[in-house]
Amino acid sequence: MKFRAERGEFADAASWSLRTVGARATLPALSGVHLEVAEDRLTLASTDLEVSSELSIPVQAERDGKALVPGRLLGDVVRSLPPAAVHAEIIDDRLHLECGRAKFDLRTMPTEDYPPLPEPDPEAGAAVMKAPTFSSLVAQVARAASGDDARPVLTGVHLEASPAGLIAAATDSYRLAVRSLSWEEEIEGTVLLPRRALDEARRVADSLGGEVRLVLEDHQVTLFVGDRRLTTRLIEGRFPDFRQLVPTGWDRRLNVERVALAEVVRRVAVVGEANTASTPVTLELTEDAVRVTAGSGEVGEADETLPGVLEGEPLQISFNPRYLSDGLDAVASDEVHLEFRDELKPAVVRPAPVEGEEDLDGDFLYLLMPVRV
Amino acid sequence: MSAAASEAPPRGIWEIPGQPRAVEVLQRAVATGELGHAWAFTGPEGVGQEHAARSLTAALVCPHEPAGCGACHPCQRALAGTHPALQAFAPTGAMHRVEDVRTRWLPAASLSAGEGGWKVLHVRLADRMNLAAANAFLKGLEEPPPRTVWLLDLADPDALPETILSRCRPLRFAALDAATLADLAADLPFDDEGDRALAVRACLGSPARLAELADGGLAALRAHRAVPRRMRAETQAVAIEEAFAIEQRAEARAKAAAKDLADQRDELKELHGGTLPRELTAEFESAENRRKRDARTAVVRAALDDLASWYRDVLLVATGGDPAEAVHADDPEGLAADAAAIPPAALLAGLDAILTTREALAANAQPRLAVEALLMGLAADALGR
Repeated sequence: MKFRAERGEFADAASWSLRTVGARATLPALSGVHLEVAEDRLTLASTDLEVSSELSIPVQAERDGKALVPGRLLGDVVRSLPPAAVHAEIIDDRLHLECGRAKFDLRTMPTEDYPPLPEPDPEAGAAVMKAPTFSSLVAQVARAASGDDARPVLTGVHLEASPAGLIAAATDSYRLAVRSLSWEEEIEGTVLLPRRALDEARRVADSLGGEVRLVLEDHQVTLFVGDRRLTTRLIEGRFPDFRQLVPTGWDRRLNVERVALAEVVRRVAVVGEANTASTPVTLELTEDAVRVTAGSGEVGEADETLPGVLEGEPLQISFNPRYLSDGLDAVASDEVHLEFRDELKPAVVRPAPVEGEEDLDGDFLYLLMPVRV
Repeated sequence: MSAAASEAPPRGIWEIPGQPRAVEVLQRAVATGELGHAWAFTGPEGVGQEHAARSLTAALVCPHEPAGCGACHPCQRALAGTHPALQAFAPTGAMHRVEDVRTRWLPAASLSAGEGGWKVLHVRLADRMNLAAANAFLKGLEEPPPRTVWLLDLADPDALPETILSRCRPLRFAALDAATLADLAADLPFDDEGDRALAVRACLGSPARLAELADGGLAALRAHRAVPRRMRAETQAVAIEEAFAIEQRAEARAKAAAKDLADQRDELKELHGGTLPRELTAEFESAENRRKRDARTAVVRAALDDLASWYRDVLLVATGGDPAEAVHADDPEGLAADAAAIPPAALLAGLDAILTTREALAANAQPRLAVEALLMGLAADALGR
């Protein structure tokens, strides 16, 4: 293997590959980044056995070939090189790098233990989204996923893709976020994705822009952003039937300024946090105002009122403040609708539609369970 | 992290000495597609369970027909224990803990199969699950994901709740017979045929102990069995000296185990660019304590086993048995001398005391004190006081 690459591109590629190297005592080869030169392109790949990544950059290839190089070391070295062309060559089991007057000589690793990296089936169904759409979808939904490994099914994001569109959902059993979008694509399938791959893809989508291509297979999902690819294994198990959780109508609906309510909730919750992190905040809804309170006689109490328009009977209802503010943060619109049945049934947060403006939130809803006090 | 991985010489698929029945059952299960989702490998530690797990993985991930060619890249990695389809879980500390089950075992089971289309999840020393861990694991066993096989190594099946055992298909791994051990010993370096034959008998069915005897020589074994004689010839101080010597050997072994681990850690650290990833740091820390403790225990246990087999042999000779059938058949004079000096009742009491000490060690007794107390007691009996 022998090639010439641009330092900047090579360094970016190497450091991105590092994000999916693996740490396993029984499989040290996973700490490596796999390099392959063919047809004037250098392909860098890595895997931690859950998520694998691949990207390729243009190079001037003198000799094709493959090598496995310790990932962290490669990243550190390439980043430290002066801004000039990098000449790289494998001689025996060493990788020689030359850039300006700097010379490096890195050991390579044996490839016999390195697992072949998963590739998406070119025949599999695929769909394309704009990068900002994908990013907002992940940001809105993934926050409702659980961080508790004991129930793996709840740590994932559920995707239902059809030729008409996509429905993404996540729940930790206290709250549920659902976002749908429409498309016309040749794709069909339901999968449960570990959050990590989505977060990684979102990071790339945010920095590169462009489009995100989603490829669905029954055992893995691949996300392409520009020339970068992430393939992830899936979570197995039955995702809760979330549609059944969403109320079909409402008895009371509050229209309120989103940021104002989120700020009030955060402020008032400070008193509750002095007790325990999950001390609820209580919302008292009247015709034209929302009163938010928290705390008890012991540590202290907080109380703040802001304007809001209520349709329906007055109501007093309590929530975990973090779950409520998470829901308000997930929406981009200026105003939100909070829909209620009564103080014991789940409430729904939705963006309030604004006529004539671009819809940043799509069809989004965030459902949260009230706290019984 | 596997000690077995480095110890086992490379072997072909299903080449598991002394376990023809287990091999046949597993092969048939693969061939008929009736693998089930959990197996309990019952039987003594280290008699082929590791290679059975690897062979089974190879048979499942091999793309060829019939599956399990043993030669292709997937097969070779499975047999080397490096195929991603095979994941092994060793106890983090003395026991498997509930956090291990929640953060490692169950997420591994719930992730869809990667390369090879299967997941083989091998729980080593599975009888060391505490009750909380067992209860958490039960949830995973109740809703098995597709193409996932749990393998539990169980030296003591009674240590696990019936609710777990009843969900596993039992498969017996037999203690290795003399012929199998002799075959294994033929490939190991011994000083002479006499040593080889003695090691085969004295390892009491454990191939790991056989390899240790080949590695470290039989001097320690000969010292252990000479203790009653030496105590008669010298004084009870022999008990203290020998207890000290056993402790020294145990410490040396623990140090060697720690060094192996440190070398492995340094190698990984270098590959990860000078900083070990956090998850590996924690893994190595707990592995170090466990490996050291296991190494110490193995030495002390071996000493007790040597003494126990010697006492049994002396009893055999004292009651008119044929010394040629003894484990220590190479030393008929020594057996006869002890048989003449120690009354049968004292021999029985001695055997009992040795086994009690063995159990006390399993329950975390301080090894040196336990061995010293045992030898002092034996000395009193051996001297006829």
